Amino acid sequence: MLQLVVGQLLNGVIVGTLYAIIALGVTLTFGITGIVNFALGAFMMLGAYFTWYFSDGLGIPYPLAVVLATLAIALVGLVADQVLFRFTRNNLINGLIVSIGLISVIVAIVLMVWTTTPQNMHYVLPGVFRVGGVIVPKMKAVVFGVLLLVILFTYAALTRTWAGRAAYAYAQNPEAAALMGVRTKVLQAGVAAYSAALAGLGGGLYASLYSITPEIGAGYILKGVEAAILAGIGSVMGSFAGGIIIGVAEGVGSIFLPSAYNDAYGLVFLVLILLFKPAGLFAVSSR
Amino acid sequence: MLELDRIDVHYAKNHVLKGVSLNIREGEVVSLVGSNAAGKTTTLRTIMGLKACTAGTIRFAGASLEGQATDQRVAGGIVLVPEGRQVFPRFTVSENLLMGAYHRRDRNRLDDDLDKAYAMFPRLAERRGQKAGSMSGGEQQMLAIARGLLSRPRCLLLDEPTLGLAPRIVDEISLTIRKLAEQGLTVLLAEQNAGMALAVADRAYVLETGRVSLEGTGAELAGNEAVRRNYLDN
Repeated sequence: MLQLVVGQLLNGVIVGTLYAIIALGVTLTFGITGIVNFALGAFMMLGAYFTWYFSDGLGIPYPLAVVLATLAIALVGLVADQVLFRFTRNNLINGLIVSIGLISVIVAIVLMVWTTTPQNMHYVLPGVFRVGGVIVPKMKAVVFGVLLLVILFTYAALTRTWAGRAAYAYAQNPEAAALMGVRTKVLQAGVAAYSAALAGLGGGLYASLYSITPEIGAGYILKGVEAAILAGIGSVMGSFAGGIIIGVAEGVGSIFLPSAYNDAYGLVFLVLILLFKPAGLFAVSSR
Repeated sequence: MLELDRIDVHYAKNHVLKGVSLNIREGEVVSLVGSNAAGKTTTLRTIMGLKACTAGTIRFAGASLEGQATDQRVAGGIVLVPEGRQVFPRFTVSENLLMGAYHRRDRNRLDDDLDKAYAMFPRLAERRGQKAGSMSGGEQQMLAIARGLLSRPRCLLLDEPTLGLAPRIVDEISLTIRKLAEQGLTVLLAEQNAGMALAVADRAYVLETGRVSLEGTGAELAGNEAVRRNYLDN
């Protein structure tokens, strides 16, 4: 029993980092463009398909396929921002409508090209780690490590580089940032592309673990937004913790409760946390 | 150095600035005096390119600013310390100051500039690690001015720097403006506090519902009957 709990705990942590990478994109986009970009889930799904196609279709080695897919999704995100989301700045409702439209278009294109048949990538890294009876597939450990590094890198970039500080300053006070000479349009486009790249990377890594279908984006964007809200929108390390909390709640919850209602366990946590901390767990006070 | 020539600005259908012309010469302190909603803030925002003018031209150091975005104007040396201070609340004092230097090419070598800022505002030096959002209004105003100076302005625009501050802080701020003027900095000061604004200014303009109604030296305007009646208490 203990092994099962520990195993599900680890599993939850790993799935949770996938939620976290989406949540990070959600929180960054919201901080800079003032909308929740639900299409990040579709970008993640597209990243998974691209990685699978580059790797199994074109024979490009998996790590390179992930990098290429991430860059391609960054470009998709940039184009979507300049063509569509640019006109929805700081307008949540318009952002939501455009997101939903974009999701429909992306899902329809993927269905046309790759059909509804679930796609499974070849085993990239077979084998497992055994730690005292608990089994962790090697690939899951790699996915966790890569995502953790990217989240830490993002945090460091936001606090220690000029571009990151400009983004953080802009999130606090857009006009004051413009008065410091921050090129606000470039910043917004850059953050939109970076958030898309995070989602694309999440999808590329997902592809090595699970089946790819056109619907996977919906679940992940839902959990990503949950994680971002749970953490208190605007907090980088908070999105990480939020993703892991939801992942673990699902993993451990499904041992004791029917796993068919998996998606609800994270939501229960979200409601409980918001009841006691309405601004989110790691919310930073604005004063 | 900074010339506004018959500037018109509209907010939707409201005609907020009606042919405003100003001329600020190098090394001068010029005050823009007027009541609430006279158009002072709009004038400064238009100079920065945060608000577009519908007619007229703005020239800085001989060149037209038309088509220049805010960041280009900042890089050119026009710096606005905005109304309501607008410090970055979650940044520390020193992080706020660093943001002032964001556009500078030498932004990675700022030790001297920071020392100078702390020498000018000793209270900021004591609080360099404190979050700006947790400071008093007067301290935030000092920080906003210091941050503006880190942008290395050739012309500094100050919007209502004394709004809502205690008389003692108001004195401190006018002293700061005098010091900056002695160092040769060109300053355009928009103020409701006409007494203070006319006292520090070489020249001043009175703005009334979007029009320049009077101009003259600070002393001339301070002695003007209409100005005394409408803007000064005595």
